[in-house]
Amino acid sequence: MLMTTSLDCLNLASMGSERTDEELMLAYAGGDMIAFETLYRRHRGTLYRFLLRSLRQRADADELFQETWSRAVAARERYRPEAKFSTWLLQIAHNLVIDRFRRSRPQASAEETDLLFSRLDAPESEQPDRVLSEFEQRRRLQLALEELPEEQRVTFLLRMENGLGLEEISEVTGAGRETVKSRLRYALARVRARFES
Amino acid sequence: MSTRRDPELDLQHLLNADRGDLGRIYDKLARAEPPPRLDRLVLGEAARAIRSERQPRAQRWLVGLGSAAGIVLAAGITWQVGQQMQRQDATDTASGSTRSVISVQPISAPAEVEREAVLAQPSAESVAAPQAAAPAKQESASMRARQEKPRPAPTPPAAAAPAPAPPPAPAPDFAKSKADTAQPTAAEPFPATEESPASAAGGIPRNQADMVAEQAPSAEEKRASAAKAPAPSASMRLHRNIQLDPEAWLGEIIRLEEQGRHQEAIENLRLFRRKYPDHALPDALRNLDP
Repeated sequence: MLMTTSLDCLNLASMGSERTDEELMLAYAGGDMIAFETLYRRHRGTLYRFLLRSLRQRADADELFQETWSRAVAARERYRPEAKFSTWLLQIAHNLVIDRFRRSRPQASAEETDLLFSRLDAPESEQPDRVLSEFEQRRRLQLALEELPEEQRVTFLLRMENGLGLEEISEVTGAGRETVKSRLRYALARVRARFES
Repeated sequence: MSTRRDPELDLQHLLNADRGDLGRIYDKLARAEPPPRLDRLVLGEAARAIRSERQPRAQRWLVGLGSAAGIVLAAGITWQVGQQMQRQDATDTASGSTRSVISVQPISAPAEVEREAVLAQPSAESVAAPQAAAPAKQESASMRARQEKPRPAPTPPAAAAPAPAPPPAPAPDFAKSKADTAQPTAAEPFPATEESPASAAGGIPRNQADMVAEQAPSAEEKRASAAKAPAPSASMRLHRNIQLDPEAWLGEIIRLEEQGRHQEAIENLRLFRRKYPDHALPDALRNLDP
């Protein structure tokens, strides 16, 4: 019976933990279900959190999480090891997220972003972030992430959650390197603004 | 006094390995995990994908094997049916009752000769039919009279030459058989009865043999029983004639014609011409040559 529980999955997946993501994906494309379970164990958490924080709705995150893996499974024979698996998987997830954004609501305007930057120019003495409690810091970061424009939020999350560099974020999102840098700068400014509000 | 944050510096801190101070706060956020329901769904789908990938391969193999088997079966049936139709055509062109004729052939007869004899039959029958029609009526009447009256001692055809209007030997018997039975029987074209072949072969007719047996059963027992034994059929005689040398066969054909067994003579001559196409025919048989 190939249908296993998540606990079984974790136990079985540990057998293939020494293999790289790319080797595991190729093995799964060749019919190795254990390889897929290992791969799933490695990436399920980061992918889920990326989706949850990008979409902010658990139901949406659940739906796109399943859809992302479903597309990865369907495209297993087209996968080439030249592409880093995590980047490839996040590309799929990112495309789904952007589609969802486009269907839900418009992007934040440039004017809103400029207004945000002007607020950052506050005196350091008036910035109370250092005195905020740890709980309050987490709460404000959470709120700041939710308020970020979608493209900036996704870019920021790819850096914070998935640890991708500029080049990798550029590859996942399809945006240029400078665009990625710009989005990260704007995202940082907005988060700081939330901390200092 | 106020200090401004440098966005470039902030970005550098973010791109550092520890992602700066925000990275530390981010790591303390709740680490949400996908629910077990999603794990089951994803792993189940991945497993199904592999299974469904294997199954169609097996099905494709089965489909290929099934197709090949179907083609072989269809070809076999077609060949079989074709063979049967060829045999049927040959039989149909001969006559509707040749199968029964084949059944009375001696097993020892070579297949080639049998086939020739069978093929020769229909034309003989078709030629014989109109000629036999009139004598058949006469014969059926005389048959009834014979059954009612004491039968006169018939004479062999050769000896009956001076007798008034001797009936043609084989054709009337054939027609009589048809008229009496009123439906086609298996032995119609080649009446394998004791009566007609015996007379056709020039032996003692059954009626005569019966009378002899009645008159002198003790003295002529062996002769009577010999006469009652099944006489060779026309096809058997034909087969026997085929094995004769050409001159002897021609002599036999002439003899048959002289005995009034016209149809049998024609059949023999036809087969003779087939077997010896270049052999010259005597004048007596030129008129018979079909």
